Amino acid sequence: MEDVNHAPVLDHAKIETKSKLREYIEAIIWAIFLFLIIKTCVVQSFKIPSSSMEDTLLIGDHLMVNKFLFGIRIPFTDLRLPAIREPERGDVIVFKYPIDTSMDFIKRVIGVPGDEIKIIDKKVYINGSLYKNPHEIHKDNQVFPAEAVARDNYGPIRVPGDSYFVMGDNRDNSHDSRFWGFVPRSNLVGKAIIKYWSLDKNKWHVRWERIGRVIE
Amino acid sequence: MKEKYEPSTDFVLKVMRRVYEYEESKNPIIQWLSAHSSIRYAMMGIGALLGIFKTIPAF
Repeated sequence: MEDVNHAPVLDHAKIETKSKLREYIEAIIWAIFLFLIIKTCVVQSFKIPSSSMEDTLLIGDHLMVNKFLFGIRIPFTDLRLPAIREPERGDVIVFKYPIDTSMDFIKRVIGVPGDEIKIIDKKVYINGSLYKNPHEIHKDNQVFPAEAVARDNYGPIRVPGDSYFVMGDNRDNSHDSRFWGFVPRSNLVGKAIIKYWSLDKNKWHVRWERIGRVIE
Repeated sequence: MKEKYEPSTDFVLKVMRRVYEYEESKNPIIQWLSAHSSIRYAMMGIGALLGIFKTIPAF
């Protein structure tokens, strides 16, 4: 009689615990699934640790990158879904560094497939015409000859198909296509769209005026 | 002399109920968290967002 009486209480508690545990596991699995889908197909966040894109992007800026504009990359393959549009001159893009694909780089597209790039005394010429991006800055007045370093004098060189020539906005302090070549299309990660957070860690100062700014 | 003591037939049931009531009263926050499915969904959403906002350096 005693067994019959207390058994339902224990069983009820056991079932309740089991179903709550199951619900929590389901919630965690859904969270991971949602995160992976959004990170792969929609947006991914990056932070800026270097000065190569100053003043467009400062050290400590956090930004969102659109992952579907240039075609969603299918994980663990080199395959991509069709792109909404191709990268254009002036776009700020995130890509896998061609020398070491474990690293992500962020630079501005200067040359698209077929363009002829030439740099003379820090001035960029595309297909023979001067190209000056409003965001580019120069912090060093020295001009080096092409034989010494590719920074200020470079080319002419033609951008091959399915490749891009990229440069940092901080032209005198950027490790970009001038030094390591073109970015293959398959290395593209996405287009930088918006800064959602900006912290100057040296002063522990939040740069509120930069938050929410669209990256142009 | 009193008669021999005999526990009631639902003695264990009564005791166990009180034990569960006491255990449940110890953790009202956890109890509250687990009682509402909307909180679990919110936790799921926050977890996904935290994962998305986990930043990767882009040089």
